[in-house]
Amino acid sequence: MTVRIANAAGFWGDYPDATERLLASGAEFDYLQLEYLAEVTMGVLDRLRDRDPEKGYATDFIEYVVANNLAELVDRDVRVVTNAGGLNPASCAARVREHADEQGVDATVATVTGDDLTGRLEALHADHGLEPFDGETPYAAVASDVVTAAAYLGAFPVAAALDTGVDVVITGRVVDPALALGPLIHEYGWDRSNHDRLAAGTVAGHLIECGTQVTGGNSTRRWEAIDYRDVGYPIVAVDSDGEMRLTKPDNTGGEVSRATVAQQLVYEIGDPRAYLTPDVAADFTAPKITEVNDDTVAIAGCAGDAPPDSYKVSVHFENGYRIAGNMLYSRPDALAKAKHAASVIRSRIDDRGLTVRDTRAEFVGHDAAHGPAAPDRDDHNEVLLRFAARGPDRDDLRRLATEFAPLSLAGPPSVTGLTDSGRPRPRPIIDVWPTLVPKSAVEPAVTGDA
Amino acid sequence: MRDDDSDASPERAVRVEEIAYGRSGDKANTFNVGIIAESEAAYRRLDRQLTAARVADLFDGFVDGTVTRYRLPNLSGFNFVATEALDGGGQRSLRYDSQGKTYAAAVLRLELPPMSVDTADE
Repeated sequence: MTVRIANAAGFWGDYPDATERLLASGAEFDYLQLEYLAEVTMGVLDRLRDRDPEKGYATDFIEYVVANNLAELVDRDVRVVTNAGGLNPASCAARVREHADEQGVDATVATVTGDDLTGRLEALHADHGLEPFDGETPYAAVASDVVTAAAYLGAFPVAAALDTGVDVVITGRVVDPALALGPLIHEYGWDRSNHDRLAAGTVAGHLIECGTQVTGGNSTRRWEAIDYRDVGYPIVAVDSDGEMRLTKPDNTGGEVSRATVAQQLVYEIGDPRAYLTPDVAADFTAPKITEVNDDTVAIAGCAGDAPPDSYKVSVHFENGYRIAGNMLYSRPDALAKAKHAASVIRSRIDDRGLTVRDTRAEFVGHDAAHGPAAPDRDDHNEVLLRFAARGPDRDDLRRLATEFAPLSLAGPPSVTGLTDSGRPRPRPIIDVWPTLVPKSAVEPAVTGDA
Repeated sequence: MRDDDSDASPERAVRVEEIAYGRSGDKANTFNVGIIAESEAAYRRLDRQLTAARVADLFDGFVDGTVTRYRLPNLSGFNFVATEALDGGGQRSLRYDSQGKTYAAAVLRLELPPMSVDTADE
C-alpha cells in the first residue's frame, strides 16, 4: 500500500488552474493539498478581514479550486487538505458548503482550529512570560499593536479531521508539512512516539509544500535546460514504512531529479539535524535521495526525534508604514545619476522635517538583489532607482511620495518612467514577532459535518 | 553523484556555481542558503573553502546577527543560516528582495582560490 499526495498550490498567488491541470494530467492521487499561508500572507488576510468579517481566508481556494473542481475531486475520491482557512476557517468552510449546494455535490467539510491565540495573548503572557524567538524585542514593545497571533499546529488534528470521514479539511495556521503528514497519520495510524515515520511524513510534506519548486522551478542547476511551460505539480507516494517516491505527471514541464529534491529539502530550514514541528524533530541529514528513473526520485532513511514541548506562535503587529518609489535613469553614468537623485530625496526629507525612521536606496540592475554582495561596475545602460522608507507617520510618508515626480524636471538628466505608476502609497507594515507557547496552553479543535 | 574531481580541480580557482547549486529563503528576519555539491570532491573542497566566515564576509552590511554553517553529508551539502539579516523580514524590510530569495545566487558566484594557495599555510 502507498498513499499518494499531490500539491496544487505553493503559496497564495500560485497558478489558479493548477488543480485542473493535475486532474486532467491522468496522474492518480489520493489526497490534494494546497498551501496558502506564507508569513507575509497573514498580514494581508488581517487587512481583508478588517474590511469584511466574512473574509480572512485564501479566496483563491474558493474561487478557483472549489468553484471549478469540487465535483470532480469528490467524484474521484480525492480528499482535500488545505490551510486556506487562514484567519477564518469557519467562513472558508461555509463557502465550500455553499458551492457544494449550488453544484449539487455531496461534499463534507471539517475545520481545524485552536491556532488563533489573539484574544488570549495577554493571559498567555501573564502565565508564561512570552519571549522573542528571533531577535531581542520584548513582548511589551509589541503588545499594544497586536493584530493576530496564531500557533503553528501539528499534523495530529489534521489526521483527526480526516478520521471523521470528510472530503475537505480546512485549517488555520498549521506547520506546512502537516498538510501531508496529517493524511499519512490518518491512513497508517502512526502514533506520536513513532518519530522516524513522523519524520518521513514531515519530509514528504516539506518537499511538496512549495509545489513546483520541487519539480524544477527555481532550480539553479542547469536552469537553461528546464521547460518552464506547464511545470508539473508534485505527487509524493509514501509507504507505511516511510519510504517515498516523488514524481510529477507525465508530459509536463519541469524536472524531478536529485538536484531539484535536494534544493527543496534545504529550503527555509535552520539546523538540518532538527527541523522542528509540533510532531517531531526531523533529521534532514538522514534522508537518502536517489534517482529511480526520469522524473522520479526515491527518498529513504528518514529519522526523527521527540518534538519540542511548545508551539511556535507568530504574533503579527502593526509597526508603522512603508513606501517605495521608482525612477529610471539611462546612460551615460546611469548609476551615478540614480545615486545623486537618492541623495536629493534624502536632503528633502531633512529640509521638510519629515518623520521617517529608515530609508533605503537600491539601484535595480546594479545591487537591488544582492546589496553588498553585488559586483562593482558602472557600465549599466540603465538603472532603476528604488527608494524605500518606513516610519510611524502615514501623512509624512504621503508627503515623501510627492518627492519622486519633481525629479523628472528638477533632477539629473535622462530620467523616465513616470507613466508606469502614479505617486506611491504608504502601506501599513504588519510585522511578525515569533514566540513560543507551551503545548499545554493550546487546544486544537476539529469541527466538522460528520 | 559523480565522483570524478575534474570539476573541482584543486589547482585552479573556481566559482562555487561550477561545482555546486543551491537555494535560499527566509524565516522572519533570518535567511538561509542551502548549497549542494556536484561531487564528493566538490563537497570536500567547499567544506574547506566555503566557510561561514566567507559567506558572512560576502553579506557584510546585510547581516546584523551571525552566520552559522551546518553540514548535510547525505546531500553533500551545507546550510548557511544568517540571523538578523533581512532588515526586519518580509513585511518590514525595505529591501526589494525582502525574503532573501536571490541570495543563493550571490553565494554561487563566489570565487574559490586554488586549493594550493588556500591551504599553503595549513
